[in-house]
Amino acid sequence: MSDKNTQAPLLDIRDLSIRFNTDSGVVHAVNHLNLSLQKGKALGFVGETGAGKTTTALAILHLIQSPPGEITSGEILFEGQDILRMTEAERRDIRGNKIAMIFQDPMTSLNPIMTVEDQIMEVVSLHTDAKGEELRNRAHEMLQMVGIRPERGKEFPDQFSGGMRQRVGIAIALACRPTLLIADEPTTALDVTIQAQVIDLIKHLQKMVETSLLLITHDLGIVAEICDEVAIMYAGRVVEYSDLRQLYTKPMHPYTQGLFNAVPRLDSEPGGRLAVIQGLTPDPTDLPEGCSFSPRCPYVQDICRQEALGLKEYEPGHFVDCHFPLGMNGGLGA
Amino acid sequence: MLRYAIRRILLLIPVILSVMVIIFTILYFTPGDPARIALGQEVTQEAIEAFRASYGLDDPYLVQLGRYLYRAVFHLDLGNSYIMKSAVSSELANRIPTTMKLAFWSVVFSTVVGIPMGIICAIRQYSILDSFVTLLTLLGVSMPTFWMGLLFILAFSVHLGWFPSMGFDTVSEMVLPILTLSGSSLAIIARITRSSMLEVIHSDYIRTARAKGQKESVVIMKHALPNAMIPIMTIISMQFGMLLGGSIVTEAIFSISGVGRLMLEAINTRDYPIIQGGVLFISIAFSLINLTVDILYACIDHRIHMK
Repeated sequence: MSDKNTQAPLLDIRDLSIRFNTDSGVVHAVNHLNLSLQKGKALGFVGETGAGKTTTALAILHLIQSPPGEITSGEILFEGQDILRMTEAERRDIRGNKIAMIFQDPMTSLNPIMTVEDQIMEVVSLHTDAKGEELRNRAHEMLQMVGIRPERGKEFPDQFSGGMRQRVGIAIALACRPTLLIADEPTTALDVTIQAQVIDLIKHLQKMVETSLLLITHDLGIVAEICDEVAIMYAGRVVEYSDLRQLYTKPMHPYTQGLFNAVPRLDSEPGGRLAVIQGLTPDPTDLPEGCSFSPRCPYVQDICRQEALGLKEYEPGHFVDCHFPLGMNGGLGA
Repeated sequence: MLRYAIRRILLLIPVILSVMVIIFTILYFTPGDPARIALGQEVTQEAIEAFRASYGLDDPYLVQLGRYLYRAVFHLDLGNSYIMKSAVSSELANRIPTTMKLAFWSVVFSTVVGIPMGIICAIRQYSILDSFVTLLTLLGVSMPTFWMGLLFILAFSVHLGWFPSMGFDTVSEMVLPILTLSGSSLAIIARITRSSMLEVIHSDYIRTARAKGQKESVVIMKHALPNAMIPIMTIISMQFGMLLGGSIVTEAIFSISGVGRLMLEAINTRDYPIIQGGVLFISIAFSLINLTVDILYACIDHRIHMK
C-alpha cells in the first residue's frame, strides 16, 4: 500500500471481498478491503460487531465455512504468496505454523475432551519433527511461558478458568513461533480484571517470539496499549488506516472521530450522556450506495451518497476513505 | 471406577426385583387358564385340578408371588415350563446364545454402517448423497420389521435365491435376519450420528483444530467424532436392548429358535414361567448394557463423573 516501505509487507490484503449466501439474502461481509502489515509490527483492527473483522481474519487462514461463505475477489499475499491460490496442503502448512490465531471465546475454542498439553502437542507435532517426550517438553515449555504450571497440562479445559483457558489458547497459537499472530478479540469474553493480564501477556510474548500481530478488537484502549498501526473498519471495509499516533491525535474519518467521541472521558461531566454515532450500522445484505457511512455521517454531501472514494493517502502514511476528511482543506469538520 | 461399577450392579437388584413383581402381577391377572391350554380340550376336571394343584395355581396371589420370588432369589430356580415340563433356566440357556448372536451382529452391522453414513451426511450436509441417505433412513425407521423381513425374503430368497429364508446357523442364513433386525436401528444410528456431528462440526474447537493446520480427516475423526459420541452411544445401547426384545418378530419370520420365539410360543400357550423368565432375561441384559455404556461414557469424557 505504501511505497515508502522498501520492504515488502508480511501480509498484504488487496481488494478482498467476501460474501455469505444466506436464506435472507447475500450478506456482503467484506467489501474491497485493503490492508497491509509489516513484519514485526502490531496492527490494531478496530470496528463494531459485524464490521467483518473476524471474517477477514478467518479469510487469512482460509477457514471461512463454504458454503455459505464465498471469497468473490481479491488476494491475500502472505510473504508474497497468495493464500487464496495455494493448494490446501500448502495452506495447512501455514496454519498454526506461520500464521496462528487466538480465538475470541476461550470457553468454547478448546476441545473439551482433550488434555491441554495434548492440544498444544498436536500443533507442535504437525509442524515440527519433535516426537514423544520432546513434544511433551515443548508443550510444558509453552505452558510455562504463558504462566501455567506444567503439571496442569494433564488437566482438561473445564478445570481451568476463562483467563487460564485463554492462556492455553495463546500457548497453542505461539507453540510454533508464528510469523503472524492473529488475535480475535482475545479479551472480550474475559473479566475486566483478567483482560489486562492477557493483554500484557500477548504484548510481552509478541516481542519475545518476534511475531507480527493482527489484533482484532473494538477496544481503542487496548489498541493504544499494544499496537503500532491502526485500521478502522466499517461495514466490511477499512475506512482509515495509519500509524497509532497519527490516528489517535488526528482522526480524519468522521466514523473514527465518532468512535473516539463515544469513549467516556475521565474529565467528562458525571451523569452526563455519552456521545453516540447516530443511526445503526447498515444492513450487510443491503449496503447503501456510495460511501457506506453516508447515512450516519454528520458531514455528508451529495457526492458521498453517489460514489465511494476508496482509501486515499491524505497525509504520508495516513489513509482515509472519505471525500472530505476532517481537518483537511475542503474538509468540513473540526 | 470399580466402586462405581459395583454400586451400579447393586442398584440392579431392586430394578430386577421390581421387574419380576410387575411381570408376575400382569400375568396373574391375564385371562386364560394355563391348565386348560396345557392339557388340551378333552380333559377331566380332576386332571385340571391336579395340574393346578401341582403348580400351586390355586394359591392366593401373594402366596404365589412370594413363592416365585423366594425360589428365584434363593434357589435361582425360575420354575418349570407348563408345557415342556423342563426347567425354564435350561430352556432359556438353550435359546439365549442364538438371540444374543442375532442382536449382537445386528448392532455391529448397524453401528459399522450407520456411523460412517451419518458422518458422511454431516460433512456433506445438503448434498444429494445427504438427501438420499435421509430418505433411506426415513424408510428404515418407518418400515415395520415384519414387513421389511417379508420383503427381504421375497426379494432375496424367492426371486433372487441368494440367501435362505430360514434358520440362523450358517453365515448365509444369518444375512437376512440381521439385515431385517438392523434396518431401523441402522437408520436411527445414522440420523443421530448426522445431527450430533453437525452440532460438533460447527463448534469453535473444531475451528481451532483446523487453525492448527490439522488435516480435515483427522479433524473429523480425532476432534469431532469423540465429542459427538455420547448421544450416539446412548442410542446404540438402547438399540441393543431393543434388538434383544425386538428379535421376537424377526425370529418368528425366519424361524429362528431364540428367546423371542420361545416367548411368543409361551404367550400363546399361557406358559407363565417361560414368559417370566424371558422378560427377566431381557431386562437384565438391558440393564447390563446400560451399565456398560455409562462406564464407557466416563472413559470418553472425564466430565461425566461417576458418582
